[in-house]
Amino acid sequence: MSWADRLQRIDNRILYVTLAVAVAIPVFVRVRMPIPPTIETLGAYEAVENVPPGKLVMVQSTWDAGTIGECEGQCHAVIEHLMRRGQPFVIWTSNPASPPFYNRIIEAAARRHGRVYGRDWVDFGYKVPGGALAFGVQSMARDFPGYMKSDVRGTPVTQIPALRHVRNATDFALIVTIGYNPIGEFIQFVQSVYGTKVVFGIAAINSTTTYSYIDSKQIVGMLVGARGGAEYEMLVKRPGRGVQIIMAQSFGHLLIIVLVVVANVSALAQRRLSRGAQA
Amino acid sequence: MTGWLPHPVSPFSYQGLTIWLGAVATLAIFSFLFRENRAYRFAEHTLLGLGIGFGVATTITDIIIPKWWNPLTEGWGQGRWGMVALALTELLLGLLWYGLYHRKTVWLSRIVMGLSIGAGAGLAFKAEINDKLPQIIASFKSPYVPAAEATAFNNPVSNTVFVVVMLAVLSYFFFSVEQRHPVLRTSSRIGRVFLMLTFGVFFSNAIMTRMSVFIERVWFLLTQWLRMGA
Repeated sequence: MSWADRLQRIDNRILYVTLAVAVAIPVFVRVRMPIPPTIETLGAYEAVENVPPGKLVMVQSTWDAGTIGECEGQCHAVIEHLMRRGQPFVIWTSNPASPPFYNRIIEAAARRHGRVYGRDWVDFGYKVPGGALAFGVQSMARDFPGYMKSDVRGTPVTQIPALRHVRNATDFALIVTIGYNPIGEFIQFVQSVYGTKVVFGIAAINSTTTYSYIDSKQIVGMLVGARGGAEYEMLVKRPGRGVQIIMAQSFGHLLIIVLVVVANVSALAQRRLSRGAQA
Repeated sequence: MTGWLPHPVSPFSYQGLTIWLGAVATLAIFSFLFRENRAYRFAEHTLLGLGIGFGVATTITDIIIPKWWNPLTEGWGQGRWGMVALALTELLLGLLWYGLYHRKTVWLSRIVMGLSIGAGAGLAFKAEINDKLPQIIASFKSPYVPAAEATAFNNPVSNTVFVVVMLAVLSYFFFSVEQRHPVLRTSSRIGRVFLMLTFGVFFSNAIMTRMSVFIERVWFLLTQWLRMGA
């Protein structure tokens, strides 16, 4: 068996272990890499930065254990930014598994910045099933207190200090939706109707087709995968999960590039060697 | 993270136990990479069962009770018969779906199915217009942009590239006539190349997403379970 044959037949399990070792390097060795923000991340950061003081922000979070690698950093950075500025926000989800994940981040940020529930943020929990978002988002945008009724603690919307004057989507300066899929309903039924600005925080796998929304100004910014989270964390100067993941991912990508080159070189060599043997 | 050698977290606390359960489940799922086995099957079925059970329970507690049961009981208690009638109509319409399970009652399900399709089509029409129209308008780009007005997404170079790519890709999907004319044929071929480039971007983004999931689990095992790290 030639060296090219051997390289072509590396056991997959060896590759998996090599990848695990590569992504584990930053656990043991402190690595510093520059993480300059991209235009789409800057758009998201500036959108939060430009929200008038006291004006409400809506955060819709659908990420859970399956997307924690990409979306935790995004959520961490956005919540940190909102809490630091003292910008009141409401949060809700269309995924019942999401609240424990975002609440952990919110509670830690609230402790750091001395924020109070009801005044600085309100949690509505699981309010709309994923399959009914088109109806739920429209109803919520038209009559927020009427649709939401009460928060997760059972307090009616009208009795929550942060929400006393909220009527519809125009009372929100910005909507940030974080999850595996972008929630297009915010563009289709809120941004286009009420003019409320929208920011997407999404998994990299779904980002390719959403860049056109930035170009058409339907969204003002976008956090793409772990990279978006890491860039935003650097902008708010609080590196967290996003930065950790992107460091490890750099080693993983480097290994994949090496493997792609090795596989192609060995495939070409194998073809040439077999032609030589036939001749 | 307190060292280079593994010293796993104690399982004799609530937090420690959850970390141990998470670690065992992660290893069971990863064991599939070695070969199909019972530990993987057990973890897979447990995850499915938990997911479905959790979804059903939260839909009852967070959606059905506050959105249907509470209005019904409150309306009944306060004598607000409009609320009661609305809740009962919702119940009736919901029950019509179960007509699907018997030949003689299938016609009942068609009533509610027709309503759903009609509402869905209406919504989709509105959604598509609001979603796509601004993008179509934004696609009319001028290759000339004064230097003072140029931005990252609106400058002569990117606008020209945008227009060329858009026309080339559109010509690839132009099936109304046979693509014999050399201009159309060339443009269509270039469009195919751009499509291939886009698929490459899709694939690399897919790798990024999968890699993030994998990294998060590897880091969980090393830093939270085995408490290793610099």
